[in-house]
Amino acid sequence: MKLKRLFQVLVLGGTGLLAACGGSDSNPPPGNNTPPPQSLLPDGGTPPSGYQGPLIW
Amino acid sequence: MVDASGALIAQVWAVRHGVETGASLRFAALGEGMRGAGAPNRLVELASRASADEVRHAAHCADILRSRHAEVPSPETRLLFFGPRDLGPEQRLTYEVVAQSCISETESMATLVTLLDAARDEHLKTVLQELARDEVQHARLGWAYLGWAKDRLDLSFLTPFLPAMATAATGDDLFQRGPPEADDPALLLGGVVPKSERRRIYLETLDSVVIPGFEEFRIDTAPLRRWADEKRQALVALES
Repeated sequence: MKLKRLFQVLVLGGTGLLAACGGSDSNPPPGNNTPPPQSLLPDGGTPPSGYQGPLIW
Repeated sequence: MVDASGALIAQVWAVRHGVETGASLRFAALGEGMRGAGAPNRLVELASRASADEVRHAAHCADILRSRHAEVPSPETRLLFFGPRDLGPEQRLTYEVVAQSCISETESMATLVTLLDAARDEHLKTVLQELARDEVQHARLGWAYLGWAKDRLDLSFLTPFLPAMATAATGDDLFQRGPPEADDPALLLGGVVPKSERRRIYLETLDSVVIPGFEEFRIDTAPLRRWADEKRQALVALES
């Protein structure tokens, strides 16, 4: 697999995967009467200063 | 292969061990976040599976370290999030998914593709094939998530953060001069891409995959393009 093919495999493959899901398997979104969540993520540690994303492999 | 290169190979696999164990914790949390946000079950399942995959990948890294008589580091036990704390819940989740899957996992696939082409050792080749098969799904998760999120969230908030994510993914020193052994072509046989090649692959993948990927979702990539241009200019000076 060459680098140029990665766009097709990863990006278009990802969007295709979503299309294959259809709308039928979504989790119920928070209802109108439900207050918006304070956070969708648990409390996590703070990375060292200056690190704003995970390392590549 | 000189000892310095062997030591560097072990050091890289040790870092990967930490990357994999940390990613396992993050994918588990991202999956739960997606469930809370109402994302399709398929994406939640992919995140959950990615978390399990990363544990297996870390075990492969540990095996390779042991085979090189190198120390296996302790697994990462901290669940780290990188986005600004003042983002809204959906924005924060999106930041973390993009940093993890659209940038880190997508760029990692390019590294794996390069290593697979060069691998000669059968065990290493088998490990790399397994990792590449999984990482395809880990990267796709991010792009699929953006496809779902784009109708629910204004993704333009991501634009100013993209250069920082791209910087973080490269670590401290990718665009700095390294020791001579960092460019030893023999590193490839140990599963490590020489540094100058790694820089080239990183920027090429940014140009041909990551940036066009964001543009598929109409996310302005001008700051990220400028970042890549600056790095290319720095490389000219570095490699001249």
